[in-house]
Amino acid sequence: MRETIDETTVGMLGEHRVPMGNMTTGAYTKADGTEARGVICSLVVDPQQPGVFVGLGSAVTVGGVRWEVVAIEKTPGTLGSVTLERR
Amino acid sequence: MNHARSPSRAPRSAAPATGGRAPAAESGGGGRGNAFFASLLQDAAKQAKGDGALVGFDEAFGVSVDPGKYQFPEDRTGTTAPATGERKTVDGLPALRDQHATSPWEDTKNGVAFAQGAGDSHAVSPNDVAQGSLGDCYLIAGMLAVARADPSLIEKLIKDNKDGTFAVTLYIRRNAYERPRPVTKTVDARLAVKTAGGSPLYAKTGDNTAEGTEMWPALLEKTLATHKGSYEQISGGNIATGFEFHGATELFTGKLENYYPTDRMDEDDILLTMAVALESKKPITVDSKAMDGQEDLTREANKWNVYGNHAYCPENVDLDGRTVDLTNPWGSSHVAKLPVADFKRFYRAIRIGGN
Repeated sequence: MRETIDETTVGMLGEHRVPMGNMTTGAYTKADGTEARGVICSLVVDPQQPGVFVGLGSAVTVGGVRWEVVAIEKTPGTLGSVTLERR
Repeated sequence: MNHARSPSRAPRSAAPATGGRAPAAESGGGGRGNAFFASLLQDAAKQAKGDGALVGFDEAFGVSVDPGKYQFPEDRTGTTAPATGERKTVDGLPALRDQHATSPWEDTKNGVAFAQGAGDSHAVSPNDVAQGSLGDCYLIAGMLAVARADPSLIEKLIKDNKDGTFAVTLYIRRNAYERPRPVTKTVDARLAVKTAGGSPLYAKTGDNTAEGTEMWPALLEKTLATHKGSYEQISGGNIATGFEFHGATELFTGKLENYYPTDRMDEDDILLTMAVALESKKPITVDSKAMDGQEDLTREANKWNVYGNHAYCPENVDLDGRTVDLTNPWGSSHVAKLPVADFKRFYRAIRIGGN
């Protein structure tokens, strides 16, 4: 199962509302723990906490389910998007 | 402090927060007939008032007129009664976003316009509002702002026809030189959902009470999408294309919205402008700056729940502590006790509407 969330909107990962903040370029951590640099975005996986920055190959856990970032796109002047796949 | 300074108004083309794709032009035209003369009389009534405030027939002439009765042909929507049962559906649903093209529409059978949730002081409450999978934060923040300033203004916009449809009024301009006037459309209780039985894709519904599921935010959003033809056309980057957009609160109040760029204000101006607007029950929203390509600023703002190119609704100003609290239209990730110096760094504009 794949879900796409647009910049500054609220998407759904399973039954959980997950807002996406902004996209930029910077350092992030992949699911295997290695550091990488590239396009990143802020995902609010815990509504009590600020967003966490993820990039291609990062993973987040929402409601006990692990989701991996499989695509992340940003064209200047438009809303960027991130696609996550349920693992 | 310079209390008397009045920041200048921005150009009419000031874009709302949130970008998007280029839309197609909106169509128009059609005969006018009696509706045209009705609009002239309404305009005359507004002129007679002299202060720029909108007044209805009832105030100007002592008679009562249903704004929905006077519509241009292109603003009318038809309803289709089912063969059995009392519920109706409306012809011409707005198009969904491309990525949601296969998502189903689901009838909110227990849908009501308004329902008062536990602990709410009014049926229309800012906590009814939450943005969905659409970049219309400016619109959702406008709903928040009007609900916070004067909930009765929202109530006046929606009439429950008690047959599964609602007559929803928005204040829309036909051109840049004309004041906004009420345009009423009939929409039904069907909302696009991700999957059958799931929650709405776009603006969420409000309280679930014994009265039913509260729909006013989703109905206002659907009505604007119906007017423009699709949900994509009301995302922030598209709303001003083919449409006279002069601020979200104007759509709900009919009153002009003023735009105050923060780069022309000092910190005291910012605090006082927002404090006075809140105190005087004016609908107020703020736009964050675009932060594209600015990693450090993006990360710093993120710690405060501030996201770039996004609209927020001020909730509280602490003049002693020199901080502001802002409601995020997401319905979560609100901004608490943001120092005004950081507000000025992160936000580009304050918008104050009328009521």
